[in-house]
Amino acid sequence: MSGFVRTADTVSATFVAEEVALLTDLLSQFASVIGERGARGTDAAVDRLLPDAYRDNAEYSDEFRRFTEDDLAAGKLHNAASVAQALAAPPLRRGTPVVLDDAAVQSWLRTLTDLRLTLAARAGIVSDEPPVPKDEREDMLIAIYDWLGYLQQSLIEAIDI
Amino acid sequence: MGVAQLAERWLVEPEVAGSSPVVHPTRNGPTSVGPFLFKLCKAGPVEQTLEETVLDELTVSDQPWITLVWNDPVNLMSYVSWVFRSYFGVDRPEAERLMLQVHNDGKAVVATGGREEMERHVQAMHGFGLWASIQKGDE
Repeated sequence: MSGFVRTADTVSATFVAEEVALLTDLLSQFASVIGERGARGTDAAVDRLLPDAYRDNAEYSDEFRRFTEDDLAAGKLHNAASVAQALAAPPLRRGTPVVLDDAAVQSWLRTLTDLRLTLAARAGIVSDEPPVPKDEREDMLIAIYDWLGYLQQSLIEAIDI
Repeated sequence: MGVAQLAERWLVEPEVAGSSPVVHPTRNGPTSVGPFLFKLCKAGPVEQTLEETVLDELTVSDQPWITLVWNDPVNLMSYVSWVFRSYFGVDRPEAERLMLQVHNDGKAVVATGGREEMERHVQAMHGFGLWASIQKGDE
């Protein structure tokens, strides 16, 4: 695992098979979380991914949601699908190289954010303090959360010219 | 533990604890949010009388609205700064100032203007995964 790097005009990362499998599974689950979402207030992750626009006016928030939520959700699904597609390239012996163009950079940055927001909701990460896992499950969630954060940080540094 | 074992269905199943359904009070009849959302709408009529529309327009033209970005424990400071630069087109020092204000004060006003424009900004921020909201500027 080396994260994203810039070489000449391209931004790329190389993933080993286990990383591809994990990311692909996360993306599939994320698509389910968004695609099969229930009403507001039934899933903390969805509430954070598709938040209220008006904190002080439920009526305005509901109206805004009615007109914008489907587009917002579709955008998130589109970005996640783009990332999954990039990872679905035939694996080479030494790993799967992923080269990002400008549009792919946007999809990856946004999707890494959405995955981390979802993981944070599942692991109960609610403050800026380093998360303390309650059990083995949370320990794993936080490890994946940190890894995705590392990936995202490396991607921001790679595009930050 | 192998990666395959990590890939459980933990994203899909909502956490039971701490996620009680939010029940909004019942609202009667068609709502009158105004022409702003109407322009964002691709299809479907908004039931609204002319009188209501005129009132809303008058209210809004007199009142500046603001886009707020709220601190959250998830988003990387470098990412938030990048979003401000790439979306709002501000330079690096201004993006860093806003990002640090979000981080240290819990929130920052990132845009001021008409309601329709602020709603576009909020939607864009949500697209980036930032925690944003709109409200009247004098609140």
